[in-house]
Amino acid sequence: MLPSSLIVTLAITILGLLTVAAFVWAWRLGHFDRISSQALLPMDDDDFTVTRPWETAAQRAQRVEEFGPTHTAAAPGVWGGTE
Amino acid sequence: MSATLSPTVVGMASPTTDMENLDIRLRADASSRQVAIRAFAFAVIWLLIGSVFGLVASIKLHTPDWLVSNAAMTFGRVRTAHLNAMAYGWASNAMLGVSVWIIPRLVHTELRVPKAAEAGLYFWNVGMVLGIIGILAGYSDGLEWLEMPRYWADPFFVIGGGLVGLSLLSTIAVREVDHLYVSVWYIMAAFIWFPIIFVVGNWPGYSGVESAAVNWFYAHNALGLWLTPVCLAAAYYFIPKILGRPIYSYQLSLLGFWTLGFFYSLNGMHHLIGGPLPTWMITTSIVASALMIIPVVAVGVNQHMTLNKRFAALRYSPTLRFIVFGSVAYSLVSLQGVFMAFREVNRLTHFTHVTVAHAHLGLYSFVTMIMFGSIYYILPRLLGREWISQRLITWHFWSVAIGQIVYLVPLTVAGMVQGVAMADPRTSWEQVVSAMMPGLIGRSIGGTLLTIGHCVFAYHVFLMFRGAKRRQGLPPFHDVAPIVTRRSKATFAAGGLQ
Repeated sequence: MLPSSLIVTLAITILGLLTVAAFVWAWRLGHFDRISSQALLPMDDDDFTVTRPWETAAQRAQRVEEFGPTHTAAAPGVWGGTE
Repeated sequence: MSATLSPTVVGMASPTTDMENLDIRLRADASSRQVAIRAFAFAVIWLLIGSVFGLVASIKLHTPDWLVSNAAMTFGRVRTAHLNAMAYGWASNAMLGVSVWIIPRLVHTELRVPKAAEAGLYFWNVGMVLGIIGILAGYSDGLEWLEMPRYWADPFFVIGGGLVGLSLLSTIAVREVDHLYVSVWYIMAAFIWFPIIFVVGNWPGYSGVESAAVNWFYAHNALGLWLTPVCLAAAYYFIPKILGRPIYSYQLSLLGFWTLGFFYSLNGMHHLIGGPLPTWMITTSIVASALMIIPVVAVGVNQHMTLNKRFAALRYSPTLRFIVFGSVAYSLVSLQGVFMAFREVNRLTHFTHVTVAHAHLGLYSFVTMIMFGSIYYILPRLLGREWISQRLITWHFWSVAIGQIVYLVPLTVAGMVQGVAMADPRTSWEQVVSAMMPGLIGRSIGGTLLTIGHCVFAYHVFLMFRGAKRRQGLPPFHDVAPIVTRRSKATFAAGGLQ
C-alpha cells in the first residue's frame, strides 16, 4: 500500500502545509483586516466616475451616492472593445 | 468619491492622489508591456497550431483512415500534440501575459526584473517547440499531460516558469500596497504551486501504480492549481473593473481562494477509481472533490451577484461577454467534476467521451474564454489602439460559443451512450462505436467552428500588431478612447492607454 501512495501523500502534504503556512502568515500580517475595503484595490478612481450606459436610473443614483458624481462620458472602447 | 471608499486610500502603504494613482498605473503598464505583448503573440501562434492538431485528431475518430501514411500524423501523436499545444502553449502563454500585466497594477509598482520574465517566456516557448517536435517524432513520456520529453523539453519549462515566477513574486515582495487583492493571491499561489506539481509529476523513476498515481496527481492539479487560479484572478479583476463596482462579497472571494488551496490538491486520485490503489486514497479524493463545492459556489455566487441586474453590460463589453461565459463554465465544469468523482457516476463515465467533453468544458469554455476576454481588454492598452473591427469580435464570440455547444452536447450524450453500452456485456464493441458516431461527427463540426473562431481572432490580433487603423465611418466602437481622456495627451504618450 505504502509504495504506491508515498510520493503522492508527501506531495499533497507539502502543498497542504504550504497553504496552512501561507494562511497563518496572511493572518498574522493582517491580510484579513478591513476585508470589505480590500475589494476596492483593483479599482482606480476613474473606474467609478465613468457613466455606464447599461445602468438603470436607480443604479446610477446608487453610484452617485456611493462614489460621487459621474463626470466622465462613457467613452467607447473602455471596456475592452465596446460599443 | 467618498474618502472612506477611495481605492487610493484603502490598502495603500501611503495615501496617494488621483494623479499619483494614474502615474503608478502608467508605470506599472509600461513595465510589463514588452513581456505581455510577446506572451500574447506566442499564445495566439500556439492557439492556431493546437486548433489544427485538435481538428485533425477529431476527424480521425470518425474517419480513421485519414492521414495515416505519416507516423507523425497518427492519432496518438496528433491528439497529444493538440493537448500540449493548447494547455502549455496557448493557455499558459496567455496566462503569463495576463499575470505580468495584472500584478504590477494590483500591487502599485513596476514589474521587477522584466528581463527575467521575458527570458522566461522564451525558455518556455523553446520548451514548447522541442516538446511538440518530440511528441510528433514519437518521443513521448507516455503520461497524460506529461507527454513532452522529460529531458529535452521539461527543463525549459522549469527554467522559463521559474524566471517569470521570480519576476512576479519579487514584484509582489516590493509592493506599494499593504493588502493583497484576491487576484494577487490566486496568481501568487499558481506560480508557487505549479513548479511543485510539475517537478513531482516529471520526476523520473516512478513505475507501475505509483506512476499512475503521480500522473493523476499532476494532471488534475495542472488544471486546478495552475490554469484555474490565474483565470479566476483575471475574472476577479476584470468584472469589477468593467462594471465599475467592487466584487459583491470580498469575504466569499477569499473563502473561494483558501478552500481551493486546502482541498484541491487531494482531488486527482478520483481519476483512478477502480484502479489498484489503496481504497483510502480514492475515498479521500472523492471526499475532497465533494468539498470543492465550497469554493465553486463561493466563486459562482460572488460573480453572479456582482453582475446581477447589470446583464445589459454584456452587450457593451466583449471582455465581459467572454469572461462571464468562462465564469459560468467554471461553475458548470466544477460541479460536473464533483459528480463525476462519485463512484456510481464514475463507473458510467470513466473511459468514455464524457471525460473528453468535461475536459473541454474546463480547458476551453472556462480557461480559454476567460483568456480571450482578458486579451480583448489588455491588448488595446498595450498597443495604444482600439480593436479594429466590431464585426470580427462578434464573429469570434459567436463562432466559439456555438462551436462549444455543438462540440460539448453531442459528445457528452455520445459518452453516456458509450458508457451504458460498454457496461452491457451483450453489446459488441462495433455497436458501441456505431452508437458514438453522431457525437463524434458533432464534435468535429463543433471543432471546425472553434477553429474558424480562432482564425478570426488571430487575424484580428495580427491586424492589431501590424498597426492597422480602423476604417473611417465605422461606429465609435473602435475608437481609442480610454477612460482618462480628460487627462493630458502627454500622459498617454508616456505610457499608452490605461
